[in-house]
Amino acid sequence: MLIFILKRIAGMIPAMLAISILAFTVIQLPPGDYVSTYAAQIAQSGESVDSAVLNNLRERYGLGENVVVQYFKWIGGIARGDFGDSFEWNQPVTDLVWGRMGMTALISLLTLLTMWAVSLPIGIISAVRQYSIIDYLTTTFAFLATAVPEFLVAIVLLYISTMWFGVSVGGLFSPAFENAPLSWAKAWDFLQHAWIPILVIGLGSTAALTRIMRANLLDELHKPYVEAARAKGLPETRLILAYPVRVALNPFISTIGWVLPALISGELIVSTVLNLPTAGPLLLQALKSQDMYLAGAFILLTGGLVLIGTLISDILLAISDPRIRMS
Amino acid sequence: MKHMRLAALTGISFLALGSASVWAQNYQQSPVLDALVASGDLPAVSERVGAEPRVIVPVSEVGKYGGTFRGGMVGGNDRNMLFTYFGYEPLLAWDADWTGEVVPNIATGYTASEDSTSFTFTLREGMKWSDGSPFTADDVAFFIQDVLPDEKLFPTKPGWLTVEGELPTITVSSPTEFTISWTKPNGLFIINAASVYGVQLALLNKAYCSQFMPKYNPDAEANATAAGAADWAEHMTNMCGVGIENIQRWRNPERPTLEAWHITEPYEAGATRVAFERNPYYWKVDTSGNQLPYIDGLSISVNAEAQTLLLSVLAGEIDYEVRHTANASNLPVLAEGMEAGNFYISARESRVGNALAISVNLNSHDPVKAGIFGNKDFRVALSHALDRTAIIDTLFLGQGTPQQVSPRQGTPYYNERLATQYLEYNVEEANRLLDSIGLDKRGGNGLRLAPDGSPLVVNVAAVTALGANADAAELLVQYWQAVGIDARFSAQDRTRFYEEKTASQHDVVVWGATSGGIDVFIDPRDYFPFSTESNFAVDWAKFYIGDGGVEPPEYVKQQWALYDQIKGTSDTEQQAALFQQLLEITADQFYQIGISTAIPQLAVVSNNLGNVPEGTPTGWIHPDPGTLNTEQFYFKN
Repeated sequence: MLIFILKRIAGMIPAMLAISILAFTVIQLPPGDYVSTYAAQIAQSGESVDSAVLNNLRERYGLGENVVVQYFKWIGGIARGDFGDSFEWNQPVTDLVWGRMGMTALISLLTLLTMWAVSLPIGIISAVRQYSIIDYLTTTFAFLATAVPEFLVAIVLLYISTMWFGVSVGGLFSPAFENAPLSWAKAWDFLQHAWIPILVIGLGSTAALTRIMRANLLDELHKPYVEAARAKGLPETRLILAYPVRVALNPFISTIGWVLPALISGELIVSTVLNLPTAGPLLLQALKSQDMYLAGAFILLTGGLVLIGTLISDILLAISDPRIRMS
Repeated sequence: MKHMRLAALTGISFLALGSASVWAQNYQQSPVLDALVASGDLPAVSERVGAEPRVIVPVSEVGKYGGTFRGGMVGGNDRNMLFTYFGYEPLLAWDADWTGEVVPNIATGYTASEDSTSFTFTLREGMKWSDGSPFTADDVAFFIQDVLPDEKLFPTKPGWLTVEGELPTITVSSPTEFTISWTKPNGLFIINAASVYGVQLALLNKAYCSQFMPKYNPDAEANATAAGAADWAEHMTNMCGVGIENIQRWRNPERPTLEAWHITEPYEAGATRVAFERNPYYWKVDTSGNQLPYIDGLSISVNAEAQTLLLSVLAGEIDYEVRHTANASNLPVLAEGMEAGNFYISARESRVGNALAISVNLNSHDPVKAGIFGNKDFRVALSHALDRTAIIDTLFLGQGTPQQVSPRQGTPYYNERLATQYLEYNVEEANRLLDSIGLDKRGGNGLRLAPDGSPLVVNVAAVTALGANADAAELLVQYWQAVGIDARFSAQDRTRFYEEKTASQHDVVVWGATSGGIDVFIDPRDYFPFSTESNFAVDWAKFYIGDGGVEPPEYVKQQWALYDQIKGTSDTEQQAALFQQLLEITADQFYQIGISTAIPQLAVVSNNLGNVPEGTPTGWIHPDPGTLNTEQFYFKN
């Protein structure tokens, strides 16, 4: 088992390097650089900026240099734990990313757990009670939820709460707690706000997972080993949970690999709409203003998170299914 | 001579206004400070405001203490929202109506030498920083002698503080009196000192900020390293925010300030909210002797998107918003949400020279286009081809009247000929002019060919993120195609737009016009090649600022010479006369095409917010709401 995990981790290193090269290339693709975006923003608000100041900035940030040189400077810094400075915030990127990435990871994890907690029982019930009222209801709901994009749900939610209830949803904390140190009261405040993004981000994937669970379980329900167990007089609930559900879980677990990136990219848009203090809005802002070290750090870390998600699902699979561990 | 008399007189009248000691015995303070004074942690209010506080006449009534002001910023680089709302504390200030008069603020008055080379300021007796330390002429001298000349802190010197590259010198004659001087005249110094830029002179507390300089503290470099900064200059910038536009200005809660509120929750990496609390040592009082500000604290949300801020406005969670959401395209949704959100929409008078400035590139790098664009008749034809009334109705809901890019009517800088020439919608005349300059040959598609027979495609670029500009560009293209010009709308990203324009690779760009009032002297980019923002001739402007470029024809140099003469005097009448000469050349050359007089800038104001005047002017040089004295805003309930 340990060797299996180590091999997987070793495989992640080249993948990570590939992600870093890709991230850096993508950031460099659009014309211009941070300084020209900055100049355009300043000028638009009627403020004026000296071209000598801009040239100074370009020099300070080394923006004139060759892309390859810039890449090696960047990746070399990261190897030493230095992600460079954010142009826009004038602060080390490290100060910016960890808190935001932590919040992203927390939201994603909570969403994943909620998704499982909801889709597993619903999937089981709608498989066992196939073509019942519950099955039809969940099926209809699942199709709707998968079809509607998450950001639209977020916007509709915002519209309803603002126009009908006069409160703007958004953020993860009440103003009083926003910059307060961690406490039980703050955690409670967080949970009161967090259910909205969790609901919005998880909605589509939950529906999809419910369908997967239902389909997998239906495949298993009529297999001979179930009939045999039933014939031996096992209580129905115990029977279903102990045998077919366990088998049906296999593809369920292996979806973590794709659920995690879907969650994170869904989180990006939803967070921007809902104004959450997660990585999403900051990444979007960094990309728009070509704040390349900040954007690079986020893309790299998000890529890392996806790789970790895949690793987790591999490990869980290996635990739940001996065939994978052995092969 | 005339000028000096004027300045001396103003100086005296300033002093008369500034002496407020009649109330010295009975100042009042916010109840939140009572306990601190009672416990002895804070001196009495009369000691804190000093002997000569500035007396603010409230806009409508004497306000009440208390409350938290709610505002919103967008993105990570919106520091100037804080600056223009709460950070406008210059030595001398503009009046709220921007008549061009400067009023006392940190300084009670000034006198200028006859040749405008030296300026003597008088400060208030007993004025203090937010930490209680005295504010004196030494603090200003610290900036001018130690900070400004430093290559690390100020690699490029602010243009308004230099005269032909020469930095000012300062002589301190007493704690409340100092003289700033150059060897050559700086006639625009006073209006710059009253604009946003002037805040720079009284930004740094010497006692606090000097600890970061090796000159004053031998451990400065070691302290910087310990704090994780690259060198002492970076450390000092982080702690003191040495420039008016540095984001670090809004970061360090320890930094003493002269502003009405000081920051408590900093504007830093990934913050979603910044907060301020009242400066107990603020040096302004109202006419009843109440120490300002009325409002105890500020809470400003940092939003990822302007749309999120708009929702906050609609939910009634913003008390004043002028920057991101209060624009014409949001007017319907704002009007609909007024009642539920408990706010009203106020119109601010925008003092720019036009609603839009359409620039044809006179420095085109394409030789064929350079010849055509450089021909004035071509630009006149483009102007006649536009139905401005229809454009104004479509884009600006009928607000505004047709006008070219020009200083505003009613100011001494207004030039009738420049403002009104070639406004008439006359397709026949446009066609005649185009035919007459060798564009009479048409291609297979019926559109005009260049004189050499090649197709003439004119790209009209606008930034899609700035909706009004892009909408205008689409309309222009239709009008110009109607006179046979193969004009094409080029929707661009902001960065791309800037890259292309700065490299002078554009054909025609649609952008906002700037200064139209007294600020024409501070930023005259629309009237001659002055900066790389002079979109009609970027290469000529580069030559002017010494950044490469192309040598321009004689008439441009004449304009530069006239501008130098304006800087050489502080006699406002003479400045206006010289500027009229300069504008005559602008009118002759017809550099830019305008559409309409400036359209109002909207502001969203909470019904609960008191002392907010109506219809005041706005702009970067005269920031809104900073010039309305936000310290006298108060909550009615």
